[in-house]
Amino acid sequence: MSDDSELQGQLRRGLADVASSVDVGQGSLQKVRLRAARRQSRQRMVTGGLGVVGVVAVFGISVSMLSGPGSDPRVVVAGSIPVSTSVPIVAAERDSEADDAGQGSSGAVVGERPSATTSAAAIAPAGQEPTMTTTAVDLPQWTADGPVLTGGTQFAVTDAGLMAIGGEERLLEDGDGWRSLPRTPGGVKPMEYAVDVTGTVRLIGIADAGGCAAAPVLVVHGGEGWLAEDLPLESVPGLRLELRAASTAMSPTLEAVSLVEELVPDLGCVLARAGRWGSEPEANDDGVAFIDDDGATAMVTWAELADVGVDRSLVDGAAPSVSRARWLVRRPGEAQWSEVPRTVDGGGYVTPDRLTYLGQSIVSYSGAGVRRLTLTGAEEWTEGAPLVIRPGAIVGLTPDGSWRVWTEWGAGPVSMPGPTLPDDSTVFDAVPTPRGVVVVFDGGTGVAVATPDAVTQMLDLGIDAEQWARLVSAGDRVRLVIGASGVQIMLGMVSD
Amino acid sequence: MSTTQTCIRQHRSGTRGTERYGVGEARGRRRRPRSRSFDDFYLEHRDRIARAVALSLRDAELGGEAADEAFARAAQRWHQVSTYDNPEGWVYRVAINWARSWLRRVRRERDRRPLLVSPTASVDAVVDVDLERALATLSHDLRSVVVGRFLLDWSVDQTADALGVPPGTVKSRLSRALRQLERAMGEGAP
Repeated sequence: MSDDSELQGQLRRGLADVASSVDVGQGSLQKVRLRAARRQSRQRMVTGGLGVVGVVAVFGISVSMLSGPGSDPRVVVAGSIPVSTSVPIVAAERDSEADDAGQGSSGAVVGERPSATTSAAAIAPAGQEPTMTTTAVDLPQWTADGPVLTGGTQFAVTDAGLMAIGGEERLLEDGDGWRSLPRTPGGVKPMEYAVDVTGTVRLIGIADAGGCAAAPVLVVHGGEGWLAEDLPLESVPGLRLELRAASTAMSPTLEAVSLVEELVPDLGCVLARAGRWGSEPEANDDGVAFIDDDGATAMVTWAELADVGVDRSLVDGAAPSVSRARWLVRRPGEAQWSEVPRTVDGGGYVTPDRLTYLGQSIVSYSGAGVRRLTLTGAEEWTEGAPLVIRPGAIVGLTPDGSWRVWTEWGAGPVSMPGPTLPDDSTVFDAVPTPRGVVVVFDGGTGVAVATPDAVTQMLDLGIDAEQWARLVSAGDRVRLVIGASGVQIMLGMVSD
Repeated sequence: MSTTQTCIRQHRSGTRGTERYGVGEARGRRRRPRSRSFDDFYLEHRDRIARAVALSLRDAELGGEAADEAFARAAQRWHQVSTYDNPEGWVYRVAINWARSWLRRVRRERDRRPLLVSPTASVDAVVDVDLERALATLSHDLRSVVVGRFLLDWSVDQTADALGVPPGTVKSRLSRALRQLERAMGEGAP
């Protein structure tokens, strides 16, 4: 007993010493208040329609049953979500003090994996919308048996996954709204449905107005399984998604896989806006400022933005889409914001969130940028050659013109014969997708794709380089639709 | 009814938040009147809780982040949390749960990305001293008890409330932790 007392005394003193040496950062009451407000906002949004996706899965309701035109002109995202069959849904009950503090995340998988997807694409003339069909899941009308799906989908993403929301928040704000929701027949309360995004949900989204309006922001992507829940989307207030089929001719069950070329970079903008990394982009006369929680400002000027194809006219008056500009990132624990160059030795598109991951596992990050690769097989990549880091994959061009892709779809770095690029071409971007690597080169005047099965092709888009360049320079967003049959491109204005 | 559904129902019918942390009538305690603002509570306890969480998790950065998340949740429902006998315990537990969820997600993520090399070191690890090394030999559960009792200076009951386990469990964990620490520190001694 006396030994115990001695040990306990030693522990008290020792723990106090150790604890005092732990740097847990500066607490900020203001930041916590802000965080609480964001949580509140998010919960209001989530309560607007929890359970729709889940119920779609639970009941096997096909979204094809629903119809209705898109209502928000800002949302022109090509996307798909194969919820027509059943999506694995984890139902979980949360949002109570007990659940916060307890085991509220327990849940039940109540769905099945969707069937394999097929491809679809639409090509529209410049300046016109691709013909698209709105996927419709409207405001949930709640009955004793659960929500009734009617038309006009909005989806939100929370820390639990994908949520369908209706917007009629009052539906769920009646007192302790979450808990007042009716149960589904299965006995699982549609309180919160966490979609298991692994191999299940394919979705493209767009941000709501705000810091990153009119910017596609999200891929919740399954199948080959990259991206998804590693993204701290729970921090994105007001994120809204609308799903559309890629064409009227396609399967009404939306069995398409689509990616938006602009998608991933903008995500970081939203994440930054969400404040998780303490930065909120703000457009002003000088450019786009990132303001961190401590009030420090980093600026990307309009001139710099123009260099990377972001014209002020596209940004001013709306929200900035600065993802093509530069990433200002701050590693946890670091006080300073740093810039991650777009394509440098070891740099590239790095979303703040991804950087966290990369910082621990792939890239040693310090100071002014990404400095050192510790990527397996990185020796095959030559320093100085284009290297693009994206969520889900890192793409490097080797001196012999082939590609090395580090991603989740294969073992080890996947070697791909490089697409046939002109000798003097400059790789503008490389977008890793589950179907291959889409390479945009020479400032957007060319596009090629390298696929994992080593089929290399130039895209036959029916669009010549001049037309492409004109479209790009006109500020049109270019959307690449990646399907099982390959890659096609949709052209059209993303925002009005 | 499936097993998982059963679990959910059991969970729902189990202790609720208001019954934990010493405010439930069933435990013979009363809500205490709100006597301080959240701001005061935060300023008084933030660093202490953050450090405790950091020690429990052995991750300083995550400890700070988890504490902030928990404090944000406390701010949201301060009207209720403030009535608890041990609101610090509530915050501590929320922080720990949040952090463990986050770590689970990270683990899943890494499992899905086997091509990526493993991290070589944790970020901002706590200072490397004998005691810290000894603490590292404890399981998370044991470490949490030690932190609650000897760093946060909670009573066995308070620790039990905060960790959501019976007092007897706290005692047994504490006993095991002490034995283990004793051995570990003894081995580390010159």
